[in-house]
Amino acid sequence: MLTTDNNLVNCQLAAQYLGVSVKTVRHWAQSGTLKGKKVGSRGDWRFSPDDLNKMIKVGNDKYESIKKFLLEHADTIQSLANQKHITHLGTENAQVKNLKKNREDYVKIVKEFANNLQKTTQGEKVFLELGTKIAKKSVEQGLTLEETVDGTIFLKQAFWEKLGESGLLQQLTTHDLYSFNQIISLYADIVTSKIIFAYHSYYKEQEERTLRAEELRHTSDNQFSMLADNIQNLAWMAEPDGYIYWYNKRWYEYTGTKPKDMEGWGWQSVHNPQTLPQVMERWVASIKNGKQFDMTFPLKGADGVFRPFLTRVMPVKDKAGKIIQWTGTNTDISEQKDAEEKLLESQNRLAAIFESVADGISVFDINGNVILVNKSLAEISGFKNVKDMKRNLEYFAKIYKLYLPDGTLCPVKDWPISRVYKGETFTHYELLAKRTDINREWYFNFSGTPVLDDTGEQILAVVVTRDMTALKKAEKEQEELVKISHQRNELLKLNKAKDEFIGIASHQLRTPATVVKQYIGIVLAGLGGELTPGQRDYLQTAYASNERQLKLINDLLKTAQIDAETYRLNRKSYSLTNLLQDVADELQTVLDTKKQRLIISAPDQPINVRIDETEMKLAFANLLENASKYSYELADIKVAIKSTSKTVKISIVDTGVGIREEDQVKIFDKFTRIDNDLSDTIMGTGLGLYWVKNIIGMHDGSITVVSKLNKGATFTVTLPL
Amino acid sequence: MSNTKSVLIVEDEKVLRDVYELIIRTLGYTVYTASNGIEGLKQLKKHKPDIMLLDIFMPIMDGQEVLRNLNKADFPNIKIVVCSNMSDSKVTQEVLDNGADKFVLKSSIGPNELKSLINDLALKA
Repeated sequence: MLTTDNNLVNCQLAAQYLGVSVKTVRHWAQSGTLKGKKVGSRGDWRFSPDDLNKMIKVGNDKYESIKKFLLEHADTIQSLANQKHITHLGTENAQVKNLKKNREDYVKIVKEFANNLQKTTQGEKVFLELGTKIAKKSVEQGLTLEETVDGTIFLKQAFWEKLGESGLLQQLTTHDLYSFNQIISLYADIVTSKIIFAYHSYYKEQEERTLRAEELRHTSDNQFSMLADNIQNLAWMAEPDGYIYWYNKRWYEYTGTKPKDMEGWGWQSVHNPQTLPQVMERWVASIKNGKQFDMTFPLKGADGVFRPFLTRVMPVKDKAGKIIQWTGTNTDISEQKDAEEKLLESQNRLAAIFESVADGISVFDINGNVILVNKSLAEISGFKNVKDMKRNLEYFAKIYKLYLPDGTLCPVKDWPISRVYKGETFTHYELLAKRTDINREWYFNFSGTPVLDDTGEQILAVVVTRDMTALKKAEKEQEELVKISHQRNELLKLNKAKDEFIGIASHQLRTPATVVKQYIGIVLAGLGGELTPGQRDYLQTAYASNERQLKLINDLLKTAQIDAETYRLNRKSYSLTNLLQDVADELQTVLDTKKQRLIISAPDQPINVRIDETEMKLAFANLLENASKYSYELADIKVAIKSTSKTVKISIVDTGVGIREEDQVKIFDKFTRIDNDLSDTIMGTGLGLYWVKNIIGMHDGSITVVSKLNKGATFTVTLPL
Repeated sequence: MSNTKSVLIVEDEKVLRDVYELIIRTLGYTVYTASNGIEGLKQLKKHKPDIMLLDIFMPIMDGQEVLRNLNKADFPNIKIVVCSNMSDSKVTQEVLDNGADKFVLKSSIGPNELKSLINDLALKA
C-alpha cells in the first residue's frame, strides 16, 4: 500500500496506483471524481489512500460487466484470433497446425485480462509469468518466434473486436475506456515482450550451448579422431540403429574404400559373402539386445585378400542406460592366426612324428616318472598300450634286466635313463634287454639327452629306444649264412677235388691194368709164339687176377661215385625184357661153364621203364652173376618179370647155397662177404650188392631178398613204371 | 689174311696203341695211328679210314673234341668206337650223342673182345 509522510499520496503515485496517467488523476480531482486536496506552494493535488481505494472500487465496478463477458467469451475470442491468424497465414500454410498448440494459453491470457483489470501490479506479474510460459512451451513445440508473437497480436485484435461487438465499451466513460485500453495494452505488451525476450534468451542459450557443444565435440572429436586414426585397428561408430556414420582412417586404408562406399550398410561389401550372414545375425542381435559382441571374421583388404579380424562391438550408453551409439574395432589377427596355425601345425606335425617314428621315445620327469611315451615304444617293448608304460623307473627296474654287449649285467645306475639323469647325452648305447615278467628279450640301441630349463636346471629326460633285435638276428643269420656258404664252398671244392680224383683214378688205375690184360691176352692168343701148357696155366692165373683187379677198381670207383653223390643217371625209356635178355646173352659163357640154365618169363607186351641202360644192365648182370656163382652146376636160374599198373617186379630165383637170415640184412652193406659153401672159390669185392642197391634206389626202386640157407635165394627188384 | 678195310687208332698211351695195332693188323686191316686228337683229325682226313678206335682222355685234343670237330658228312660210312676207361654214364651218353657208334670200357676188352669188336664194325662199315 502506498504511504506518504502524512498519509497523503501525490499525483504521480496515485496515477501509478490507479493505473492511469497523472493527467487523468488531476482531471479526476478537478472534476470531483476523486476526492483530493491541493497542498504545497504549487498547489498540486494530494489524495488519501482511502479515497484512492474508493476510486478503485468504483473502477472495479466499472469493468465488472466487461470482466464477466471476457471470462465467458475467452474461448470465442481465442477462436476468432485463431481464425484471423489462419486467414493471415493462408490455410495451405504448414504452420497452421502449430496454431492449435497455444490455444489454452491464449484462452488463459483473455481470462487473466479479465481477472486483473483492477490489479495492475498483480497483473504485471501474472503476464510476465504467462509470457515466459508461452515462450518456453512454444520453443518446445517448435513454434517460431513470429508464430508465437503473431498469435498474441491476433488475440488482441479478436479481443477488441469481440468486446466492441458486446457494446460494453460504449457504457464506459472515455476516461475509463482509456484506462481500460492502457491496462490491456500493458498486459499484452508484457506478454509479447516476455515472449520475445524468452525466445531471445532461449535462442541465445541454445546457440551458446550448441557452440559450446560443437567446440567440445570438435576438440574431443579431434583428439578421438587422432587416436582412432592412428591406431592399427580398424574402428567405426554407428547410430543406435546400427547405421555406421564414421570409420577411422585405417579402415579406409585397409579396405581401400571411400567414405561414400561405406556409408550406412556399405561395409557389407568388404565382407566374405559366406560369413556375412553370421556377422549380420550377431550384429542385428546386438542392436536388439544392446549387448556387446566379439567375433572373428574375414575382411577384404585393398589387395583383395581376406584377412581374419577379431571384432569387438560395444554400445555407448547415456546416464539413463539408453544406447546413444555403437563403437566397433576390428583387429587384424592374420599374423596371430598364421602363427597359431603354424604352431598348431608344427605341434600336430611333432605329435605325428612322435607317434609315427619307429623309434620308441620316452620322456621322464626328474623323479623317474614316465610322463610321455609313444606307441612305438609300447610296441617294441611288449606293452599292450602306451598307458601301461606310464610308470616309474622303479617299476621298470623290477621287470627289466639289461645286459652289456659282453653279457655282463648292466646295473640300474648305468641304465640309459640313469645316464641322462647324470647329465649325459649319448647315442648308440647297445644293451640286451630282458623282460622277466613276460620272458622276452630285445637288442636295444639307446640314445638319451636331458632337457634343461632356462637356468640350466634339468627338467626332463628323454630316452630314444631303437629295436635292433631283428637286425641283430639278421646279422647273426648273415654270419651263419656266410659261414655256411664258406663251408659249402669248401665242400664244393672238396667235392670237385674228389670228382677229379675219381675221374683221374678211374683212368690212371685202369690203364696200366688194361695194358697188362692186353699183353697177357696176346701172349695167351699165341701172338708171342707157342706156349707150353705150364706157361699157359701161369699166364691164365695172371690174366684172371688182372680181371679181378680191374673189377675191383671198377667197383671201388662206382662206390666212390655213389658215396660222393656224383653218380648221375642217364635215364631213357627202355624195354626191360630186352635189357634182361641182353644181360643173359652176355652172361652166356659164365652160365655155360657151370652148365646152368637161365629161364626168363615175361609178359608178351614189352614193359618199358625209364632207366639208365648201362647201369641197370650192370646191376642185373651183377645179380644174375651172383645167382650163377652161388648155385651149383646144372642149376636153373629163373627170372620172372611181372607188372602192375604202377610197378614192375623182377625176381631172380636161384636154388643155390642161400643166405642165413642174420646175414640177409648185411648183404647190401659195403664190403660184406658171407661165408658159405662156395665163398672160398668165388672172387668178390663185397661191393657188388651195395652198388646194386644204390643204383636201384637211384631209379626210385627197391630190392629185397628172401632166402633160406641151402635152399636158394630170391632177389626181387621193384621199379616204378 | 688180307682185308681192304682200314682202321685208325687214336690213343695217347703208346703200349696200348701198339698192342691194338698188333692185334688189328693180325686181322688183316690197314692200320693208321695217332697219339692225340689233332693228329687223329689229320689222319682221318688223309686216309679216310673205315673204322676209328678213339680214346677220350688225351693230351692236346681229347676224344670228345675230335667227335665235335668231325664233319660226319665228309665221312658218311665211318664207324667210330670210343674205347675209354672214363666210365661215367654221362660221358658215355655224350659220346654217343656226338656221333660215336659204340662205347666200350677199355678195361673190359681183352685181345679176343677187341678182335670181335673190330670185325663186327667192319661188317657194318
